[in-house]
Amino acid sequence: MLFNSFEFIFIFLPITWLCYHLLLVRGNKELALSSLVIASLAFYGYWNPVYIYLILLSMVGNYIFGSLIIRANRKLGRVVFIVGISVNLLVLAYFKYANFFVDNFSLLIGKDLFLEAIVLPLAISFFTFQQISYLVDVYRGQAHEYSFMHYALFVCFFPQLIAGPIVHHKEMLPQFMRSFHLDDWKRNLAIGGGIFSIGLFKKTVIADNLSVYVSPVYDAESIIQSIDFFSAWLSTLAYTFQLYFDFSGYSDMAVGCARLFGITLPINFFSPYKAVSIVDFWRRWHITLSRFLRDYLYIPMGGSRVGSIGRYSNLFITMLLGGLWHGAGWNFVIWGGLHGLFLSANHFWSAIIKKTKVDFQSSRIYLLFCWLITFLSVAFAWVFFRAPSVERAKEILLAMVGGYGFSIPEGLGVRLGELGVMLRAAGVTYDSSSGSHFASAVIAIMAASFVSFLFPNVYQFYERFSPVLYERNDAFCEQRSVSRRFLWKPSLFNGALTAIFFVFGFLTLIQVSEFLYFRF
Amino acid sequence: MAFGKYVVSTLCFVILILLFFGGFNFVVDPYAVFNSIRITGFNEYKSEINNKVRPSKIYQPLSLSPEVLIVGNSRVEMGFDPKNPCLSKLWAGVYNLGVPGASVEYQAAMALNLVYQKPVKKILLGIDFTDYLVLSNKASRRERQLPSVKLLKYLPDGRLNESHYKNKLIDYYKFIFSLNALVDSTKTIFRQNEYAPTRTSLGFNPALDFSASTSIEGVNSIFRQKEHDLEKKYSLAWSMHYQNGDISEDFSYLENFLKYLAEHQVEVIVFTNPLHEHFWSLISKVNLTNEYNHFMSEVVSIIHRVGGDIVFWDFSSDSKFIHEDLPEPGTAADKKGLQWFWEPAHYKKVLGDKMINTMFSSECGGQPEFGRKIYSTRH
Repeated sequence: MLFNSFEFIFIFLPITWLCYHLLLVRGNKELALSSLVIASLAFYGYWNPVYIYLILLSMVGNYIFGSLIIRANRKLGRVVFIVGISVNLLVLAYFKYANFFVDNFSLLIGKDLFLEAIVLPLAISFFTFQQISYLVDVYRGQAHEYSFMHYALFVCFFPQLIAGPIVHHKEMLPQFMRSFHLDDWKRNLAIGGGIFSIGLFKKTVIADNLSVYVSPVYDAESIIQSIDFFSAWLSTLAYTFQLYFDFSGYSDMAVGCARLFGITLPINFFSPYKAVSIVDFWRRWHITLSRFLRDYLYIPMGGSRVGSIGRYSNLFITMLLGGLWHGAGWNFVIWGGLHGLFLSANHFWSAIIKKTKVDFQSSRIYLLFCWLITFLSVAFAWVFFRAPSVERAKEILLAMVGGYGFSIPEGLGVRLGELGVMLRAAGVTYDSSSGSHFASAVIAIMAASFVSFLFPNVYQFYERFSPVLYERNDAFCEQRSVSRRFLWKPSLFNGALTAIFFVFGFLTLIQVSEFLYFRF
Repeated sequence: MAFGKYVVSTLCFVILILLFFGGFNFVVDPYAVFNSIRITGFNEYKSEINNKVRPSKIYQPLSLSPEVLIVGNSRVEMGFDPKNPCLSKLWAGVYNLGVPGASVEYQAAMALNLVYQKPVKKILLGIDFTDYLVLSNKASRRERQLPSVKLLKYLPDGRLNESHYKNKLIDYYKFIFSLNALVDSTKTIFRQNEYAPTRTSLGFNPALDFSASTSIEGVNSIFRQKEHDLEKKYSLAWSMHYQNGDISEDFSYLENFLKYLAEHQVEVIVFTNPLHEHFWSLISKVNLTNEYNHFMSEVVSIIHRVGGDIVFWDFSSDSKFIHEDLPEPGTAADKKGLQWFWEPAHYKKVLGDKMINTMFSSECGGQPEFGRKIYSTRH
């Protein structure tokens, strides 16, 4: 069941919300939370009922592992911990990477080994990571033993189950255990409904409309004849914004949905395309994944405590594995590797600046340059992330540097008048592609850029009502930068604005489309 | 403002905005499916209809009572105006059912769907030999019947399509409560000018957008782009036959179509569309001239086999109209365009009027200027 579907918005969500609140009214909080577990399993099973067994098995198994670690002595606890982590990783490896490894091993040894295609259960990467972090913290003595029902809800709570945010037990379980104020339902409905509507708008109105400019280049059977500098850049920029609005829109919907039930989720996106460095970008993009990779991979490997070379190699390995987490393919490995290189270069540059002690970092021109190079690096790496093969990615990148020439639609060229003449003189050719498609792609990308680069994000507007959980109070310098008079508050104007966002989203329900991050 | 009040007022806004957008889409009717009143300067031209011509041509004629249907692809859609004086004089209702890019089977299914619902007496069927070409490197023909087009009320064999009502409901919902419809309605009211693409309330495409492109780009540029596309398309291994010798299944669709019409006592005039000499040069260049000759004789055989009341006219062959020269590029004449053709494959309404005058010269008293009657089953 997709968030942007009739059955979710008009059947599943209202019924779940009503049951939950009716049970709360009757004073039975535990029963109310149980109803959320049942609803979440139904939500998950809607795609394929068989997968309910998998997630149930995973939850029960990890809960038992956790309980055993808490009860066992240090030596036995260590054994259980290793077994627990290994089982999780093996299950993930089987479903997600078995085909990839067999295919590549076949190539390596030159023999045709065959493994039936294994269907990837939805959200397995997300709920496996959440439970690994739980086991690690239990082993470290940083987690308590919770009731199974609370634990199950932490793993399978439907707003975050399919594509995150990847929640941490420390931020979720205390919320389930605290007492609920029934009077808050109107406030939660207003805030959650508003954030959900904005997320719905971002996904269905902005992201889905950008997708039409991506596929003709990235998914075409052959592009050599048709691709050029402009089409390659337009499709790549369109994808850069499509992915952001799609995934952050999903996260907003998840945050909004959870808030309807009085639960606050961690922040997952904070205006990532405003980042002025790659380090800054990863603090703002898919924040809960970055946090997981940092706490459970980078730091345990030694993090930055092992000298410069060690630090860079740790960063590179972390990002390589982060890339592989997104999918079993060389494209994702290359994408992760590129970000590992970018991060290393970023740290190297920061170290040089620190040594030179020259203070130009607050200069506007320097910041603008940093922002531009960060954005272009990110967009460049997305080519590998989106392209169906490494070969296609190479073709697109070659076109982006002018390897396949420069061409604009003839219908557009003749309308440019003198500029058209100048472009032709500069070597730009005319082709028979659609001029209106080209022009609308430029307009759509400009509109998306405007919102991404200049607008505050939804959490800044809702700041007064703590819409999300931050790691620290001052996690982002512009967290509280919106003027008080623009901050969201219940008013007729904001009601009308929310209604507009929702109605626009509603009008797209007939053309349902999946979220890009569902495949991970 | 209290949160409770805020929630209620937001819900009210949602309902009001939704009703407003739905009403707006219905009134503007960007795809001409509801036949809403056309107001000059507001929604007269349906500028966003080009991508929705098929549903439009399924639903628009339901509120009309056409006696005559003009059937074919984009050529008849742009060439035959149902408001032609001769057609208007002879029949009370004429509807242009031409659909761009429609295959023979689709054209037939669309027409039969209306024949089963409306008092259709006559069909003017424009045919093109290019619609009957198949890739000769394909092994054999597809064995299938006329398609069960899911939006149509009646299947080609006259059976009721049971999923029609559900599909119609979904379609109407999309035309009223979808973002695409809202965007297209908004664009429609902002693009009310004489160069906007549109369809009239009788299904005719006046090709105003071609007129706009010609006045900006020049007819030479339009011809060049089109010839490039056509050459790319027809350079493949096209033929009337598959590798195993089977003839294109489109001839079966034509024959079945004519049989169904004969069974329902519908008179048919089949005619070939005129094409500019540049098109014929291209056909000769890609060695398809023999295929054209084969097509003509096959159509005659089909009409002979079917019987009924069918007349076959040919307007595609040599005539003074197809030899119109292109003006010098960049001149005023270039921006004005040709007199008879928009581009190599599409003729203008003025030429369509001459074809009507020829076919109905005895009824309307016009002077035949080109075309020849090849075959008639009338006694």
